[in-house]
Amino acid sequence: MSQNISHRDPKEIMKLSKLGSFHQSKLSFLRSFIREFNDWHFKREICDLDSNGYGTIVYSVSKHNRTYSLVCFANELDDSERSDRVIATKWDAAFVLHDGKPTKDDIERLRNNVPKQEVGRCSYKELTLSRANRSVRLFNHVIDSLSQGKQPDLKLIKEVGYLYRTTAVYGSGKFGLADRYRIKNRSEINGPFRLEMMLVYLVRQFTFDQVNHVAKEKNPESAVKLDKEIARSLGIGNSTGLGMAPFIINHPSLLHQWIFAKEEALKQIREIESVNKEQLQLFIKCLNQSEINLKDWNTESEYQLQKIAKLKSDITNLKDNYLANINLEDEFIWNKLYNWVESNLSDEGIELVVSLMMEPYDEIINPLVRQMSSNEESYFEIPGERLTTDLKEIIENSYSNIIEIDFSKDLENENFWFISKNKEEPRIANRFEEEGSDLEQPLAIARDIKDLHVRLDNLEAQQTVAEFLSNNNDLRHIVRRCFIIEKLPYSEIQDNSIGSNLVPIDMLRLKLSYFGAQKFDPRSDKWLRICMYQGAPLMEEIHNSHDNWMYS
Amino acid sequence: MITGCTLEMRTSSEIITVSKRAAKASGFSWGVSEEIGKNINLLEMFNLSGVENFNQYLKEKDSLNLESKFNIANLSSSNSSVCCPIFLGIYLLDNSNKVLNLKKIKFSRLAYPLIFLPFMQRISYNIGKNIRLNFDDVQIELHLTNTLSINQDLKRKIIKSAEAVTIEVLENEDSFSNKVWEELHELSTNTFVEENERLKSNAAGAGLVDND
Repeated sequence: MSQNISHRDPKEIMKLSKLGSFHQSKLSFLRSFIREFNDWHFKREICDLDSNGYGTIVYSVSKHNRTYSLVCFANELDDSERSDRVIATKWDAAFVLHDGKPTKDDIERLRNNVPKQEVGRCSYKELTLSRANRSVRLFNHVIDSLSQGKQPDLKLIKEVGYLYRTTAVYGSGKFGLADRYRIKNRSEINGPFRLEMMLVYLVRQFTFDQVNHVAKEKNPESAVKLDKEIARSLGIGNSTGLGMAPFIINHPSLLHQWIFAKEEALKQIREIESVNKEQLQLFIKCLNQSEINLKDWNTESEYQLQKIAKLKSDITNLKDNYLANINLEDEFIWNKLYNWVESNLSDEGIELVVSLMMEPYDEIINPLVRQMSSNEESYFEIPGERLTTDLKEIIENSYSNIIEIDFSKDLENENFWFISKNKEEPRIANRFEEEGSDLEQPLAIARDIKDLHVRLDNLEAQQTVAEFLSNNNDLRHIVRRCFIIEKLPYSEIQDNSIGSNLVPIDMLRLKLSYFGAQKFDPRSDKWLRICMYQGAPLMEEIHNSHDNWMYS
Repeated sequence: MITGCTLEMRTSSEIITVSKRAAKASGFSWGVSEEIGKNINLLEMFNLSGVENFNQYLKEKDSLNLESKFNIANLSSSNSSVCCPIFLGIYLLDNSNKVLNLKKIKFSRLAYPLIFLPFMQRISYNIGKNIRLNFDDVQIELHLTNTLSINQDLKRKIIKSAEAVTIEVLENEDSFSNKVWEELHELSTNTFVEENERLKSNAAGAGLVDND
């Protein structure tokens, strides 16, 4: 007998507290990158570093006639100049992913531009751009240890988790990089953020090669190489600020594709009638490993500590009160499990379980990964011939919680989003305390939806949307979104993005969970550190990798 | 490897973002600015001077006293004021179905007609018909497949105004004669297999007579 399970309600799933509890999963981009690229040929082409590890390294990733190359520039940086904030102008290393094999001229051109990042200039030959700073305490410790012929302290390795952390990864037309449309027909990058994931994966390899090189230069007689198992346990850190938050508001159709993939996966898994022993065991193994990994989830953020505590208690509750009594003979085990989890666990626990339920099901997940990009152009046009009654109905169906918010209260209007003139980066500030709200970015979606609903309510007679817009073009951006959510129900955050209760890092965590980030470590309500590729196969062993490396 | 670009050229992403922000900074709403960003990039993709025309338009728009409210029924060749290419373009885009029904619209005095052009391109795509846009001695055919043909070289030109403008929705029609079609069709049938009696009865799903 089959069961027809509905997708979860967007009005619940798209609340920021829920989105801010998402975990990495098989759908995450860095995991699907490794699955899709594990039959490509990874090679270090050039290693031209001095005894301090400064210089150039080039890696290539190739298959058939296609080659991508990461060009890395390692530079000397005074400790006083090292900053993860976007206002920094110098970094320990800078990276660019080049399309093809770079010529000597290309490398010289890039050497003059890539270390400058935003104020340098790339070209259509380059695809993604990034920079990174060392974790000073771990980097120096690892080099000292290796040069003395010892492996580094495992406790410190676990505590930090990475040798370098990136502070931005740019792509798609920024600073002269190739526009997405120029490469969109390449089948290997159909999946989401493939080139960004490739860059970060290769940067991780760069960090290992650099420490091995410097240790060897420091003490050629006694130095040893970083143990492979230790290297595997290191990822790449990342400091992420508000820049990511507007992205998910500004790309509604893409956001829908990401969330829908997860919701569709959950629906299909809940509809599975019969689950075998291996599938259940894999789920339990991943749950147990997640519980172990929690011990290394270090943060000083009270907000995150409370969430971790809830997650720990959720896992114990699940193991003791549900999994201990699970019967493989039962039908629709996953659906029963999900229903119990939804009633008994916090959002952290629920979303972890949803992620883990995907682990046994490549055949469900892989086709969904291929649907996680969006042709945003196809949702741009506003159907002017539709009626204002249609528009009102869409709002009342899709934004019913939003139109209940009382924006006459200062608390609901407290913040405004703006772009910093100094760094051209998004920022958020208190509307009543700071200047600049007249230059507010169009990210107050809930407020503008409410405004649109009020105006539609006050219309004396039905109009076409074209007629309505001719007098209300100030709300054109929001009318466009209404016709997107009509088709794509997970395209909109169902919360107030300018209220006093806003926790911007919830928006960052949503995006980073799709990247595959772990160990969210909020440093304030506006930025956090994370780790990527921790536990991932090394470049030399990617061909033999398995997809459960995250839980090894 | 991508080819056909210069190393220095601005990307579409940059053109869209900068045009959109410049529009907003010049008093347009965010929604209208989104339309402008898309259109300026479209002009540049057609190798027309979108950025140059838009920059000049922004410098002059306040002194031109441009008309920004329209009624398609009253658009005529005797406009008293000069039409804003952006607001008129948006108005017609939102009323694409009316443009389709009217078939031909004539009016006078349009500022910066090249900025108006991408709106016509998008209407052509929306209604699934080619559109002929004439302004003064310039004739442009906009094809629903996102291409256009122009009767003169407009590359690097800034056109500040047009006196007489005509928008004509073209009927979709074949560009070839029936005779040519038949010749080509005849040739294409050489890929078919002649059916014998057994194939006629066995190679398809239903029976030869299905009177049940």
